[in-house]
Amino acid sequence: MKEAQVDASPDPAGSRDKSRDQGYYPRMQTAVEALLILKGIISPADVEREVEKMAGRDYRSGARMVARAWQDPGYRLRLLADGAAAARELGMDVGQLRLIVLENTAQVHHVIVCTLCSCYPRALLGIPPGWYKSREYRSRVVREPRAILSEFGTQLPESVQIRVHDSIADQRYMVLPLRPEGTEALDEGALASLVTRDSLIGVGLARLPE
Amino acid sequence: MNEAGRRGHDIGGKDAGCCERDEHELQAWERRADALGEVIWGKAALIKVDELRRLREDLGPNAYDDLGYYERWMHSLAQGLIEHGVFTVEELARAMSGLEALPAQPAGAQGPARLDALFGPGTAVRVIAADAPGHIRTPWYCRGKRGTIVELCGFFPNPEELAYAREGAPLQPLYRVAFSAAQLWPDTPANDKDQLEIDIYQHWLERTS
Repeated sequence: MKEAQVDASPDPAGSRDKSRDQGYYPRMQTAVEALLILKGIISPADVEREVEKMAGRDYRSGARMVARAWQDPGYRLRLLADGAAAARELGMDVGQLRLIVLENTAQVHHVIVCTLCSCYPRALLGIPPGWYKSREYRSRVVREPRAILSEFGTQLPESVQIRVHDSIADQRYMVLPLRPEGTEALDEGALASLVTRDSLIGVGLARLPE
Repeated sequence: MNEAGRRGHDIGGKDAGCCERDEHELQAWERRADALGEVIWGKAALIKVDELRRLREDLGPNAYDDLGYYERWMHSLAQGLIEHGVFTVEELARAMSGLEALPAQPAGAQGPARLDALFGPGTAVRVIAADAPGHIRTPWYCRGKRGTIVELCGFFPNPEELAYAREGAPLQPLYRVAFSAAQLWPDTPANDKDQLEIDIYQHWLERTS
């Protein structure tokens, strides 16, 4: 039984095909929600609303902020000074988020991880991808970031310094990636489409225009 | 620093395999668990995020690695809410197992000092087929099995509540219950007369007709 689990492909986000009762935790989810509703602590709409809210959050909000910063030097400064305020400026609801934006340059490339759990700017970018929460990423990126980046298809020259940020407190990080060459003529919408989620975490770069 | 002091979740710098680009879509229950967490520590402010982290870390390295992300998540939410007295292990066990909630027993000074004993010697009972996290003194092997009350042993504080530093009030009737070994262990040859007697608290028992 143990060996079968070892052979199974890793799936750290929680839906591994295992021999144990697959229904145990889903049942626990249903029961906890039902008890809280029964006791009048939450309403059925509360959870639904939160599901919707989270479904509406994804990296494209971060991409919009990056594209604006590439176009507007004033916004870039405000973004670097206070990421959450800069998100609110674009009409995004980020709750109590405290966001530090790290700017990549030709000399410095930033990468974000939380080695102790899964801290991520959820209030802006939504639920983190499975690999961000995985043992492999959390263990290795602090020690061998260049190897992890190359597994994501990202090669950086040795002349570039990598700064890995272990985000373990009640503040969150996002990377402001380097603007790709040859994008001077693009408008903000076209620029935003070059910004990938991975580039906001630092395991990737912004895409080159077609 | 001696690695023996390192906790299982604290993995930065350890060796690990290739970083697979897991981008799978969450299952519906995982999205709901995610949202439930947000409601519980956000709007409802029932619990602090660091309490939930502590509960997941206390799983220890083996369970921490074995469970999926939202499995650990649900574990911490359920345990945290029990710790806070939002619901009891008994309530969660019944809700998880599709059993109706028992009539509310007012706790503390207002409530009865002890519950009435419902079963006399010779009563045919069944152990409820329920499961839940938490501290449960009803062994797995007898869950859902039929037995007979031998005697009422007395009234004891509920260990499921004592485990969370509460008083365990009202006192629970405790019975010695006899089970036929053949029923408990159908795959093991046994003398038909052999039986096992187990101490079981009343809230784990129901009368069989």
